[in-house]
Amino acid sequence: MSPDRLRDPTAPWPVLLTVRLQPCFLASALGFHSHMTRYDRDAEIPISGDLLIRVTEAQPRLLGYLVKRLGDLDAARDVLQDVNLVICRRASEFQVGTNFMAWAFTIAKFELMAYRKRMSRERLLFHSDLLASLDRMDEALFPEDGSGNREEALQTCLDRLSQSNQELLTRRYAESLSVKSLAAEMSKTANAVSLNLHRIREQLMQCVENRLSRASHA
Amino acid sequence: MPNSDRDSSNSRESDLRIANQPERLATLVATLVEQGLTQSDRTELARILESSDEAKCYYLHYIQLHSELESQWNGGRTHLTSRRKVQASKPLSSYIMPALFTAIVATAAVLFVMLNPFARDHLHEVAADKAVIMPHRQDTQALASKHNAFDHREDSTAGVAIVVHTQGLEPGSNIRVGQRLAPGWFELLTGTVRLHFVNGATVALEGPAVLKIKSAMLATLHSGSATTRVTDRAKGFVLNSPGAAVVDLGTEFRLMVDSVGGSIVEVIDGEVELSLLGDDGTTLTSRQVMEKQKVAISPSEMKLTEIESFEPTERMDPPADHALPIDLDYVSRVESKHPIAYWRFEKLDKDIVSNEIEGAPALRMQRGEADPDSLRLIDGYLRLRRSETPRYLVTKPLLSGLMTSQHTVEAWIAPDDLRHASYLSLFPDWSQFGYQQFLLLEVATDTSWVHLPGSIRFLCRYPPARSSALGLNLFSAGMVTPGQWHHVVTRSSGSTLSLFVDGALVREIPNRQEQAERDEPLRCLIGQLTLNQNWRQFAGMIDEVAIYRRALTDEEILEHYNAVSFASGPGWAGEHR
Repeated sequence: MSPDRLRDPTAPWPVLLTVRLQPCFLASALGFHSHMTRYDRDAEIPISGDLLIRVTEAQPRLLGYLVKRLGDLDAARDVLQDVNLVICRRASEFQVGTNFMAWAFTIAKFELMAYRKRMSRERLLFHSDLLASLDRMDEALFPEDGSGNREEALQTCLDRLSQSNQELLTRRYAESLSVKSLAAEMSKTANAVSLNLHRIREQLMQCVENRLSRASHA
Repeated sequence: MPNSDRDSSNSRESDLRIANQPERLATLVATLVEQGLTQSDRTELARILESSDEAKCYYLHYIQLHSELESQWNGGRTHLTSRRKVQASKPLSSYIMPALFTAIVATAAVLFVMLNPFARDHLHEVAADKAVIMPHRQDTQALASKHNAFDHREDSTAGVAIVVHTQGLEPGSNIRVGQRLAPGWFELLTGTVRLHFVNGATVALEGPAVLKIKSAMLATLHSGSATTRVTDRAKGFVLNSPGAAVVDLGTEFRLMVDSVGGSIVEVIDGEVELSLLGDDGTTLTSRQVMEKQKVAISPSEMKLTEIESFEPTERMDPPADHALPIDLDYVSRVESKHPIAYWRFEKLDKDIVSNEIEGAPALRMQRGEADPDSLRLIDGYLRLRRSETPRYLVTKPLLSGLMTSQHTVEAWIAPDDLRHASYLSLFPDWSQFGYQQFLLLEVATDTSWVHLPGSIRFLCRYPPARSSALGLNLFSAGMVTPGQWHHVVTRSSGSTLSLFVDGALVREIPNRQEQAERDEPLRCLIGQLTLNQNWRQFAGMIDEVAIYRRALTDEEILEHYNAVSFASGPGWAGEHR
């Protein structure tokens, strides 16, 4: 795809399935080849639309995986970018029909290890023992094959929330509004909105666990 | 003690400690998922997690749930809104692809916005640092937080206050209404000037006065007099005088500084926290000053003295409204371009605002019985004030042909302030409360998107949806001036989306969204974001709203702008861009 397409609104737009990795395309379009890192150049690989969808869908879960193990949102986002780049570079290795999430989690695991190696010991929040312990518990609590049950339980619990709580969650997650924006919009303090969101999450956690527990005893 | 016993004992002690810490753990985890933690918070979190398995379990469950909620909406799965109304006949992929696609182009738009003199240099820095992969709004935010120049909201050159009113200025003064003020010195020789800070504080200066603006929440009055009014949004606004600080707790107060550094604070309404400062700038002594109290501050004597008898200062007048100076020539120019809807707000008949175009839908006014002033027609314009309850004007779904063809939406707006507010949207009838907009127009401040405060936001979204991951945004680079009329026109020519403010093209991007295959009649909502909540209520004035089923040319838009003759009278800032 020519970078000029961004500047030429009359040029026909190709089918999305053939586009290159968009950020690299954007960087190219903006003329930053000379500043691109090795990863950026390597990442200029055609990626199938199907894989692009899978990667997009996987972002929240991958970020969650990394936040749990790093305890640091910024660091987790940085590592997630590395994970995405590796997924794109190795896109051809992924076999359609195999478990994408398992493949992506494996990459995330290796990128997490690489990140921890790069960081000095002092800068790492979670030491090895804690990380290993969290890792074991996470895999036991949330096995990959149990995600369907959790999704179903969560959906039921979401439906049971009050209208106002549903609205608040939708604003926060569907529209990705920050707590500050929500607070300004609702004429409340950011603390009040945070607290409200926190209570809803705790309510949902409880509800999901209860439903899963009942289902396992049924 | 055998190891197993010692372990058991340690475990019990740990569990005891964590038993006292669940609230703290909950706070830390909630903060972690919302905004991230400070270094000391992270250390504390690690310590708590190391202390017990219960803590680990709670921590993992909480983040897991947060990720699942993110997946529900942003990972393209089913969710509350889509289950209700998003056209269910289409395959999921047809929504995901445009979502991804529009997110990508939206990111491109954000990057183009950044290509201005004060951001360009830093773009190189970021490009070299790390490419933005999988364009995701939160990732963009993360970058913004790391590279302050990316964040217009933090950029001082963007302006933290704006001149909204002047009176009695000396001849040749370069102070003008609509002028944006960055942090720095502001000197007023004569007359009065009213400044509106982007966070919601209004400061009326009486000359001669010298004010040093430090940020949107902090200024120092070095000499002269200033009356400050603070909305809830700006609570905590600090106005310093030499040797004292007045922290506004949601109120109106007047501060006078004399030539030798002494000052007097008078609270007109509400209350303030008044601090006498030492030479290191920290509080020596402080007190709350309540409504109708006046206190003299003497830094040299290090004391605060209440003044018992005085003539109270009047409250600051709200800005006067000025009707848009429209004549029949303007009306005929609009009508000659054959809009499909044209509301002039001349007459209200049983809560119905008629459409100037025969057969076109009227606007129905909806407001709480207890708050009739929240929506009124005055002197041929619509006056809106914020309300505790939803209030808006809305049409029936009779605006057809807009989805599948070119379109232009034109309106004159004069916001009361810079608060994030939706003034017009178009949405299909199946969207029960209007969340799934096809087009949304707003004044944008304090949002989580990257733009200047007080920008005009034009969101065009196909298919109409609720997720912010869908659609393309255009933000103006200028700040609208509270209390002043602005001509805002949005245009879709099919291949491009354009935003005009005060006659000038201020933003244009390629429209890469999926083209609509079939048309759906749209409803028009004016005054707030949705039908069922009082969110993002627009406060101010609106007039001459016209919708066209074609793309007006640049010349036609400028012609309309020029057809309104403000001269240099009140009600016109004249320079948004």
